[in-house]
Amino acid sequence: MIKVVVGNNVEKRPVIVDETRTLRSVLEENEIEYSKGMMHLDGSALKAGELDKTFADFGIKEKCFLLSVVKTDNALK
Amino acid sequence: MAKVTILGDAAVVVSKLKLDDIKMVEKYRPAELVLKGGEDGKEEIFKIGTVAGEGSIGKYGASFGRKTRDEEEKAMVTICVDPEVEDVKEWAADKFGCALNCLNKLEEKLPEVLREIETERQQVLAQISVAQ
Repeated sequence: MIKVVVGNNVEKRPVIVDETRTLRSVLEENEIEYSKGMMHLDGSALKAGELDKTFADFGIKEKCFLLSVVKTDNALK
Repeated sequence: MAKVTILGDAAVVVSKLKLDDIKMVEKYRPAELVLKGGEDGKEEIFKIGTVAGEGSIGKYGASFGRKTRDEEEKAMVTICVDPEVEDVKEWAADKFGCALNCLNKLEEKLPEVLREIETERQQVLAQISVAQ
């Protein structure tokens, strides 16, 4: 089992999951919208298709951050 | 209580629970497999579950993928011992100590959870009839 801090710009929470789970399954279980921002795993942007890889595939052995980052720089009044 | 047996370069962690029992709780009451703590008592600190492969055990949880070969069929996970280690008992205590403490706490409450699940299943089965 590994600890994953999952979330987005606004909210993050730690969850414990098995490292053989896919990134997509953990995001869906925690109701994180992954289509509206860039997904980052430990600060590195994920490419298309990588959400269906497991944490073990990425070499995650203990803990990581899996965050959806939405850029709002242009959202000015 | 879970036990650790070391033979050669293999350390085997055997749970008090059967693999099938953990699968049953995972299916019907997955929240009971999580130990919570922290300041507000809501943070997940340890979790157990089952996997298709070998399994693993660590700081945040244990995944069981295999069972013992006797009739008890207890859940187990096999770990390779670090070949550089001299005092293997100390190594195992350092590596698994925290996990074993948390596993023991979960193992204490799960038999009651299993009884409740079985009672509920029997009630559901009583409502099902098969027409010939």
